[in-house]
Amino acid sequence: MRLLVVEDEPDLRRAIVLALTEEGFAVDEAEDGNVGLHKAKVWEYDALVLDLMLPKTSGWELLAELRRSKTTPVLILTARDGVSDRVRGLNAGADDYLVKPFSLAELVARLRALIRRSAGHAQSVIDIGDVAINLADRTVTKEGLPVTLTGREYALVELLALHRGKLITRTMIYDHIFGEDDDSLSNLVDVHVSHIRKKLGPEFIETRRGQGYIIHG
Amino acid sequence: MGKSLRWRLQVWNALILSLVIIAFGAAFYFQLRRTTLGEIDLELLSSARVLEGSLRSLPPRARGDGPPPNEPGMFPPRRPGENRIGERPGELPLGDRPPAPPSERPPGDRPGDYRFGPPRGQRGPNGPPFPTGDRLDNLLSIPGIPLRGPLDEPPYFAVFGPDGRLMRADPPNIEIEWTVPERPLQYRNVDSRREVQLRGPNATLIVVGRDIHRQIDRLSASLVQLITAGVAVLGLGLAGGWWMSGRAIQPIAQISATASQITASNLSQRIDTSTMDQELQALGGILNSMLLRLQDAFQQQSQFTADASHELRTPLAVILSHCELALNRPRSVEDFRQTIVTCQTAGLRMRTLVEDLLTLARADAGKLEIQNSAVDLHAIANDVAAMLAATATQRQVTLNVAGNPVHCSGDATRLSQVLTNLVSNAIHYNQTAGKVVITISQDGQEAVLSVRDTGCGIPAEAIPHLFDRFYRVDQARSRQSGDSGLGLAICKSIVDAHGGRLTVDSKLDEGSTFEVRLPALPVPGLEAELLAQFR
Repeated sequence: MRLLVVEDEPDLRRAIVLALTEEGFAVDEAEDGNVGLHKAKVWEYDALVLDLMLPKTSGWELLAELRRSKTTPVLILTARDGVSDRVRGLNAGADDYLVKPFSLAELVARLRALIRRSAGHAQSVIDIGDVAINLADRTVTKEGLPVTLTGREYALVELLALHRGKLITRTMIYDHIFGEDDDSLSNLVDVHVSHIRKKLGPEFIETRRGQGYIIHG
Repeated sequence: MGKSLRWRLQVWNALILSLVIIAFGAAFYFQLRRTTLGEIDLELLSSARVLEGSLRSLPPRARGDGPPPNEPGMFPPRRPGENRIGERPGELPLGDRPPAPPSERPPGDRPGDYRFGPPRGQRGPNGPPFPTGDRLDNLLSIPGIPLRGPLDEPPYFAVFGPDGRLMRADPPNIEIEWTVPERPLQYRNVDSRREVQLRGPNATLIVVGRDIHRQIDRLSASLVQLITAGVAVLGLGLAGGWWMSGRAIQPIAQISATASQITASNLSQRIDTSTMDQELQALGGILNSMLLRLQDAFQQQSQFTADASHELRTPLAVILSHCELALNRPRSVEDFRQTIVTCQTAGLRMRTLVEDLLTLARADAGKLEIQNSAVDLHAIANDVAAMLAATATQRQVTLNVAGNPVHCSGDATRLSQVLTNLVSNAIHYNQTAGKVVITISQDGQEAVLSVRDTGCGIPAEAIPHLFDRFYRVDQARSRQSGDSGLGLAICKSIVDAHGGRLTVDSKLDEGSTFEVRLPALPVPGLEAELLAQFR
């Protein structure tokens, strides 16, 4: 899952980015509203973490502008505990909010829930045949037995599972799983897919040659 | 309710109304009484004058004691149709009535009681000798006094001799008290009778009276009517006053109802004055302007609180998130060190902010400690310039101090805090290879300290807010410089506490000049120098 963190306080931004990266997200960052808006419009993010008090373009303005073209889930961060700021943010199209100071664990949990809901899944466990994917714990079981996946492998499984029945192109995989700083070698995805097939069965992921991958429901 | 305005108004209303009614009623009653008695008095007096005239016109007679008055036979023969005082139809003619019992005679037979008039037979001071003896018979020829209306009591009269003896009375059995009048003409009330006492010729005393109980009754009835009417008017007045005060107070109640609905959360609400009277409109207007000020103050306060909490929460969030991150999984020593450094930076930022907030809070409470002493602004400027020289060099900004030593009374530490802040701003918001000049000068009674930079300048719309707390012209740049947004607000508080002024003049892309004006002190030794020169 690929996220964008828009936060002007460098130390705080660093902490958020590190925490989210460690949780398996591909994370991009922006230090002000202008950069944030530009990135959010150009890339397909699974969710945005947005501070409201931003230089140049405020969080509210960014949100309003973004909502003209995109429905990316947005979690707003605010240092004000006044209701009006949060209400204004939610009315502008935000999907959730957190008040600073916040717990990183809560931020991660809320982001996961946001992404899951935006993909149309109310439950945090997705069953595909004998394979169960727990989005909250980031664990996968086959026939009830846990299967160990690397971070990238899990991210790929999660992406395909969340959009099961839909064709996921290579570009989409790169967009969602790799951050802007990752080297996107073209055969990296094929390597991950073959590893997943070994662990979860050869029929789990179907390859559409020249198009992409799909998990059938 | 005892202290309510309406009740107080009502009490005043009742008081004033009662006074007016009582005064008016009393005046009316006494006027009525005077008129009534006046008519009677006039009538009695005219009768008395007739009697007096009759007495004067008596023909002179020889001296000698006449028969005592009130004896039967003193009356002249009645002429047909003659009408006399005191006579009622069907009654015996006055002359035929039995005499009054001797005990009811007025005192006066005793020589010691003789009080007015000259002695018998002697000449009085104002008239001929009093007719005595048989000449008294002539008194009988005093014509009767005509009767008045049928409802009025008939008048009576009596004539007393100089010795107080009743000489003539009509009706003869009338009981008249003989007293010595103080004045020649005097009115008196005896029981329900009104009498006039008139000193007649030859020291006689003429008393004419009338029973006035009817008039007294009528007056009493009038008094009762007046009181009844007064009470009724008072009642009506009080009711009307209550109603009117209620109407007058109603808009006030309306205002207070509206005002009571306005709480801290909806201070934007206003009292509708469009339908009010002029006086209340003024009151409503005053309340509204007060609400506006209150709203502004509240807004400023909540803005300040929000800003302060924002400024405190951000470093707090940094500390907590970095700690959480560090504790999430095993880390290297370098990672922990980095975390601690970050936390320290955030902690220092919070300390600065808390100190700034405390300084402002003290200034707001008027408790900013100013240790007054003679301060050389030039020396302070040099100190600050030396302290910030490294920063200036780092930013490639030239920093100069110009001017002469100028002294003012103030707190050296605080003033150097102000200057540090201003110069530090001037360096931070300057361009590369820019200049900062600190100038110290004296302008009349004022010491002037100015800090001029060649920076980007301040937009005109930002200048009025420049000294507001947490105000930032450009948020991004301020954040980078680690400024809390309180610096200029603190400068202003300190300068204000010194009784000075802090002003700013700025042109976009040319630079800004901050100017501090403080009351100057004469330079020590300057006067001595001047004196020496004059010598």
